[in-house]
Amino acid sequence: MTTKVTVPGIKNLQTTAEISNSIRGYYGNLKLAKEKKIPVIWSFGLIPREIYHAVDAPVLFLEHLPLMMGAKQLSGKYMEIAEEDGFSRDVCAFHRCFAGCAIAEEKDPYLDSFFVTPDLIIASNLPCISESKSFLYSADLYNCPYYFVDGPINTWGKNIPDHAIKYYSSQLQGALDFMEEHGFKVDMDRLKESVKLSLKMIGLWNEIDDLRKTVPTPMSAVDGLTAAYPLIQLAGTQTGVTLYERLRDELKEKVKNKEGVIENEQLRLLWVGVPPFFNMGLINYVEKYGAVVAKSMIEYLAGGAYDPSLVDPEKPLEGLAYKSLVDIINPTAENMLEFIAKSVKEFQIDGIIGAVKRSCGLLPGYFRMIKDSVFEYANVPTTIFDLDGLDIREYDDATTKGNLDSFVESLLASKRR
Amino acid sequence: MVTVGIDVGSLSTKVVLLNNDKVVSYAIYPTGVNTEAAVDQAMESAMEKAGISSKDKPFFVATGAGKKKIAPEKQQATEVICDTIGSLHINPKVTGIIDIGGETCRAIKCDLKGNIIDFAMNDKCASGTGIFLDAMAKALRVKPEEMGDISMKSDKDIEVTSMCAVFAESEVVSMIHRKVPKHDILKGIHKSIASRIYGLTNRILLEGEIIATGGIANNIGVVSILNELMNTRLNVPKNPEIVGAIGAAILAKERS
Amino acid sequence: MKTLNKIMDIYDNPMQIIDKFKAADKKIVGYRCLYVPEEIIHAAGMVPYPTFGVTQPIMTADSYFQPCVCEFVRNLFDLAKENKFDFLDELVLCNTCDAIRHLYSIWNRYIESVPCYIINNPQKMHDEAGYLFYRQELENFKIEMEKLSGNKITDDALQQSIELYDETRRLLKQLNELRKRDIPPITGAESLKIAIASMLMPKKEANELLRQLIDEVHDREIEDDNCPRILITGSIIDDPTIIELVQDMGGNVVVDDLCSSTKYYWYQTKKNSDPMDAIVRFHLERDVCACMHPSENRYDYLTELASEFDVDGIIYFNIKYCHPFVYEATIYRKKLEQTVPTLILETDHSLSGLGQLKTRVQAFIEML
Repeated sequence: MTTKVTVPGIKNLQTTAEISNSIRGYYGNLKLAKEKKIPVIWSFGLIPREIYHAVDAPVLFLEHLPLMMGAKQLSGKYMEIAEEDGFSRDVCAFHRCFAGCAIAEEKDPYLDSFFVTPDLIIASNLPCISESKSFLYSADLYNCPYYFVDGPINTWGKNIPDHAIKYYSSQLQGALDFMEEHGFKVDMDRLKESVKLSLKMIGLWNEIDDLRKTVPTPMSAVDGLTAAYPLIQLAGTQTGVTLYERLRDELKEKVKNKEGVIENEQLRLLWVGVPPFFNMGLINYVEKYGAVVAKSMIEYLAGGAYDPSLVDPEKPLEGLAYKSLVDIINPTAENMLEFIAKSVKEFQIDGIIGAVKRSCGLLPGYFRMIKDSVFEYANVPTTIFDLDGLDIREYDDATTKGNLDSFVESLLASKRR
Repeated sequence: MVTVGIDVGSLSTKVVLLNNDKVVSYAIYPTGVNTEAAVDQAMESAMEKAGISSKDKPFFVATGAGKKKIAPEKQQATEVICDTIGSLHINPKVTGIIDIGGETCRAIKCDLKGNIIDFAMNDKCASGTGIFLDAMAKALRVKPEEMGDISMKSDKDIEVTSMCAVFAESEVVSMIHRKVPKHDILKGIHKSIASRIYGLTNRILLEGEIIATGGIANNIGVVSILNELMNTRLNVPKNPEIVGAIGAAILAKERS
Repeated sequence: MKTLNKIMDIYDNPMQIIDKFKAADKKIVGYRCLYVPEEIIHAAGMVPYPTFGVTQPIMTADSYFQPCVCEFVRNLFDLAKENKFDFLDELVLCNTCDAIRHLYSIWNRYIESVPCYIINNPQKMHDEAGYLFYRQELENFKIEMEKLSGNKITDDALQQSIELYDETRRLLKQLNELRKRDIPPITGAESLKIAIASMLMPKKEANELLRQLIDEVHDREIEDDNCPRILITGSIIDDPTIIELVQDMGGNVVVDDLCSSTKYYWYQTKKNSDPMDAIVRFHLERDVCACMHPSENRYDYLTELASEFDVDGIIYFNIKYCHPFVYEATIYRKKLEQTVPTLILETDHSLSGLGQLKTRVQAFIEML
């Protein structure tokens, strides 16, 4: 017995609409590149986008396309196509959806407007096994050359040692060499410039974060998801910098006028786990209780949460290596746990929503540790329940809302006593 | 003043009448296909037992899977809250609640002040709930209410290994064909259910005094195995199915 | 079959080995995954102990991991929570898959009796930059083992340990090459037990027993039942029940590509005056693990094994939620099936649901 009511999320900000436009523009440019016979790259995994933008490479990111399909309620369909071709239901929904999009001979017009076939593939082993393996299927399917970027996991916490930076830098150099072999011009000065722009972006993002910490918060996780796109996919571009300047200014205005996402803010929540892409309305659902989902941790996928002063644009590869390896999404758990606990305190979060996507190999292992460490550090509870943010076939609206209702009610009741 | 709590479960509807903190009467009706009719019948029965005219319309709060069908939003409450309030009403010392219902199994951890610290639910699958047990009862041709007592006769340790209710049923059918005695099979089934419930309680580490609510708490077979697994003695109130409705009735008093 | 029985007894009662070590005041360092160099542990005067699971349902691990994480790893954690690994002085893991990486964090946070260390090995083989990286990691690991043992690890000690462990690998390979015969003198289940027992035992003892065993089984008489020859692959199988199941259904398991068998012993260390370099290259030139790249090399290794042993069919036994092997099976399947019929199965580590497995294996074997 499942109910399938889904509602898109409500965006409150002008800038997020602009960011959505830039997303469409980006995919449009991919189509153009295909016309001009510029090799299109498929990128899988935690690879710093700055290297792509430094060579003007047209790149389709595995992490983003399934998100768009989810929003259009099409992700389940393509996952099924992949499953019929032998993909197990136990492996990552993102990768299944992406493989399905590649395999499908007849594509929906919506998918067709974004999809471009690969001429090259660049893949990484980080952050998880799915990234490390699923690209081989596409490489076979399209018979295209690939380069594998091997990154060390983070077993050191904040201080990444020299031998790790050296290794990962050599891998990034390998990726640049690979791109050069296939016709892209690699210019170190452009790469340095790309890193400088990226540093500007993280500075702006930190300002944006600080503005979001005010009560009432001017930005919900719905806007946050779209707003994270430049940080993740446009890292190192002027477009990214411009968009974030506008976002920061818009939020400054809202904070000045004490304009929050909702008027009577009672609770602030943090979403940890894959957001419900096909039903972002769930984020707004809790607003009827006066609860706002102030942030979702997916915003930090491959993009933020590092100390910019430790990145030297004059040594771009080393800087990018540090930025990638210290990322909270790079296992092992230390940086992720510390960051979430800190976020909870700084954003004055009252409760964490832990949505477990069962096909994920990476995030589920963290939930219990997040729950315990956040409770120890900030006395804030976490609710953990199953919710696959991409597989609409498995979705049960009544159950999910029941979980959210119960959690929010219990938080409100604690606050009242 | 009289208030009413209605727990519209997937298998059964429970109505409780509360008068100034005392349960005056209650009624249980199978929910069936027509939720409103089941609620009406249960209400009528409970009011009659309390000696209250059916023209009176005491204020009510509804909980359970079907609450949205019969109550406006202001008169709805989640099962987790109602279970907790109802349980604390019966035993103020309780710090853990296990609600084993028709379709859902819930574990709640609270403090002595009644604040909910944590909860976990098993709702994706039928194993560990009333629907599963009813199916098993049919396969074994016994009455659901007798299952617990019959299973206590077993001293064997038969395993029903399938995690899924559908596969478990075929496993049980093949055991019947192999002439495995009913009480042994029942114990195996109860063990499987108790393990699922135990796994749920483990997610939030229940401790202290723990109460078992919901229809399955009447099943002594499941409860005794749970006691073993959890190394505790579960409180089982006289009418475990109505605890949620009691909580709803108390909330009705607070909200009216 | 005196020696065979002796080895089977050791397999059935591994605690007797532990007791001997404890009585001799030896420190025991547990490890999991093949990128932890046993030789470094051994050269420090300690005992490297491969951690295997036990076939039982998952108990408390589900509340620390979610139920969708590799069953083998959850089982290891359960055993740790049950104090079954308290005899270890340290546990060493390495960088292979998501679940092992999680085990490192979760173990360190929730298991107080045994500390856990992780070696950060590359996931790309045959790369000079990777050799340098891994070398530094192993130098750090060497310091950790020196600290734990209180002994200095000399180059000489390392060379000796390498020779000792290489001998075990060589003997296990020699033994298992006998299964290339038309009528293999040992069964698949026996081979797995011998391999696991050899991994658990002190190597001097293992080498002695293996030499005797090779002589003993060399002319062993086994009935020829003309069964199809099967290669089993997957990540780790620590319970021979699965292999016995294939045998019962009429398949002759002549070669098993598992972390608990062939992957461990198929390759040898190349002689090198710098023992640490030898260790680095041994690990990063061995294309056996599905978590590693390039994937094409592992495909070649697998198909070579299949052809060397002249197999009629390949069966993948993937533990539930083992992502590397589930992906590999999907990616290799079409290509493999062009040369050898391939069956892909999913198993519970706790071995529930054997009935369904039997049916599928039987159908596959009948088809061969």
